[in-house]
Formats: sequence, structure tokens, C-alpha cells
Amino acid sequence: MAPLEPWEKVFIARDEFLATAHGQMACTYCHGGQQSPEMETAHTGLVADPSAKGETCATCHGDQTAHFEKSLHVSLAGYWDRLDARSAPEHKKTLEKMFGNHCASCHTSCGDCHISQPGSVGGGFIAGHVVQKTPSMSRNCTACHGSRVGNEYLGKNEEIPGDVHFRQGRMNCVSCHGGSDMHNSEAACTQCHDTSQAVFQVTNRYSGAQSPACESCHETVGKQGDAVTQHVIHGNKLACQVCHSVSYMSCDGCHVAISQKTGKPFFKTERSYMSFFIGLNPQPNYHRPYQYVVLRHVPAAPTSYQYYGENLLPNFDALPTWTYATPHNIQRKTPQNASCNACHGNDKIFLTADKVKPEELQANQPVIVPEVPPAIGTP
Amino acid sequence: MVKWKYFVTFLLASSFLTACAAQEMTAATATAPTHESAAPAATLLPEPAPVVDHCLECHTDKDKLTALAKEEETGHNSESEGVG
Repeated sequence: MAPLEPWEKVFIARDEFLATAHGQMACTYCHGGQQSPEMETAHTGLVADPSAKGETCATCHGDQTAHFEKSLHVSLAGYWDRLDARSAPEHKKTLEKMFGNHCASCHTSCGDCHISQPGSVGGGFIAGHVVQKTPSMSRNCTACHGSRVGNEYLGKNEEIPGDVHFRQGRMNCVSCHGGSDMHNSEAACTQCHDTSQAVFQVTNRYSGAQSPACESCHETVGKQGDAVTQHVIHGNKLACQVCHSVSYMSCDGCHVAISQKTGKPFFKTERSYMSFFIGLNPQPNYHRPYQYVVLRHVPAAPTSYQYYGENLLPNFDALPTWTYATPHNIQRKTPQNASCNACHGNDKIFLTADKVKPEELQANQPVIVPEVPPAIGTP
Repeated sequence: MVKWKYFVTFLLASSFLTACAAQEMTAATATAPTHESAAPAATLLPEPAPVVDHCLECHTDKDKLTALAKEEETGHNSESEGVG
């Protein structure tokens, strides 16, 4: 994706924009600033992204913005979920500073999906400021979710085919991840469900109802009459990806710092590599009762934030570094589903203790497979 | 006769003023803001585009933008290495 020229980033396609409902409003209604032929005057008080707080869009799009602030795109709650678990309350302020410098830019506003490219990839209007109901897969979704999800889905990893939903179905991201998911429109689950019950508590993205769920389209899988015997045999013991995903990217050792030369934040990831490992589901729950899931190594390290202070993650072992993953490279036929013993007894594809770094053994106890399922037909 | 003219004029004027007063009362009653709906309605109406929109005049002029637009010096993650 070629970067936009500076002028292109702020160029409005007059005819197309004026033909839309947004084109009927004064620019200053959303952006503030002043009507003036002088640039400096016009830009005084300008709000470049009026959707950053969602309030401007909420004026007309109340349904879409009602629960939006709690969506992960806005709250970035996943980061703090992990940071809080591995850190300690006395480090909160230091980590907030780190977060502001290195993580907060992943915050996504309405405009980051519907008007512009995300700021983290340089920003700029997607279609001359014409609001796009459906975000662009390449210029919005994979602009941020590119190095793992995007490359997997589009088949950009060497010798690894793209996801069958893309290759054969030509499905884009929103085919599965619809507006209600992105806008968190279903957040009002508390209106019907008693969230004091563990079954209805959503503590991370792998608890709570699956959305999207493979079964939403593949309705007969594992059910009576399913022609694929393996689906029936394995039932809910395996996450779909265990049989239908192939190698995906894992990363090690991300460290962040502020450049002494430029004063800008940067990161360095020690290593990235393709891997495929089946491990134990660390948090089986009502919606994901699987015993086995696939695991991706995340780049967290005990020293990831040492630029900001020593030992900021004293409880690093509280969470696995090999984490429950949902790779986006689904295939009907995979090496591990070629036969029973392509998986059973094949210790190369199970995350056993010998494949985990000694210093991460404790953290990964919940996901390490103690004993590989034996080969079938062997004594 | 003159007295009669004054009387008719007075009558017409009174009728006219009474009618106006009644209309004003009706209008005032009809548009009296209710506690629930009036305030939000006023803020919900988007401001219409002005006849000459200076913002649009500039941001649709490629040559002008080419001359004025500068690359933002975000430099974000410029020294970063590896997969983000």
C-alpha cells in the first residue's frame, strides 16, 4: 500500500463529498475552526479528528456509538488486562507513561475506520473524505492488523497459502467481523444476562460468546448428520483451528524505548518466526470448552519496559507467553488433519515443556501439554 | 355620522388587535418547549454548509494543497525494528 502524498491526505473529492449527507453540513460543525480564507485563522481551534471521542458522530449515529467506547478498538482494554496481571499497583503510573508513548496510538476512532487511514500508518483520507460505510480491508483493517492477521489471511507468508475464506470465498474482514462487533453494539448483554454468574462474565476476548463463530456459517459441524466423522469424534474437545490452521507468526522479546536522537518512541522485536503448536486451553469456559487450542508466542518479555524502570513486571509468570490464538489462515486440508497419526503421537506439533524457554516454563504451565495424545493403533 | 365612523374604526381596530393577541398566545402555547424534547432538538440540527465554504475551497484545490500541505513530523516508530 503506497503511502499518500501530504496533499492527498487532506484532499476532499468535492463532487463526491457534496453528494453525501455529510457534505451538506458546514465543515466547522464537526471540525471546529473558523470560516476564513486564511489558513492560520481557519485552523484556529481546528479538531482534526472530531470522532476521536465519539461525541460528534454520536449526534446522529447514536446506535453505533452507544457502547463503542468499551470496544477493544477504543478502550485498548486488552493491553491493560495483560499489564495489570503481570505488573504491580506501585508501577501503574510508570506503565501509564509507557502506555501513552508506545501503545495508546493504537486507539481507533470512528474516522480511523470510516474516513481516514489510521494515524499509526500515516493517516490521510481514504476516499476524499467521503465517509465509507464499510472500511477498506487493506487501508483500514490490515493497515493495523497486518503483520500477523493480514499476512496470514492474504497468504503473504512464504509457502503458506492464504485463508480459504479469502482464496475461495473472497471474503473481506467485515464478512465475519460485522459492524455490531466493531461497534460493540451487543454490549448490552447485561440487560438479559446475570453477569454475576461466571458463565456470563467476559474477562478477555476468549471468554464470552464467540463472535464471530465458525458455527455461525458452518452450522452442521459436529452435529448429528455431519458427514465429516472427525468433527463428530472430536466434538468440542478441539478448537476449529487445531485441525484447520497452518503455520502462523510468533514473536519474541519486544522492547520499547524513546530515541535519544529524535525523542520519538520506538520498539525492537528480537525475533519473529513461523510456528504451529497445539496446547492446552488455559481458560476453558462455557463458550470455549475446548481442551486443545493453538498457541502463538507473544513478544512480551520480563524486560520489555525496562527503559522506564527495573522489574516493572514482577508477576510476569502470571500469564503464559504462548497464548490462545485464532490464526487467520484456515485451510480445509492441513498437515495435521491428513490422517489420525499426523496429529496423534506427533510431538512436533504439540507445545511440550522442551519447546519452551526455561525462563518461561512457569508462565506457560497452563498451556504446556504434559503428554502428547498417543498414536492410534500403537500399543 | 362622524361619531359612527369613529365607532366603526374603533370596532375594527379592537377586532384586529384581539385576533393578533389570540394568534400570539396560540403560537406561544404550541411552541412552548417541553422539558424533555426542546433542548436536544436544538443541538441536534447540524449546521448547514455556508454559501462560500472556505474550508472546502482550499481542501479541493490540489495545487494549493500541494503548496501548503506539509508532511506531519510524526516520525512514529521510525527507529523500530522487527514485527510490530
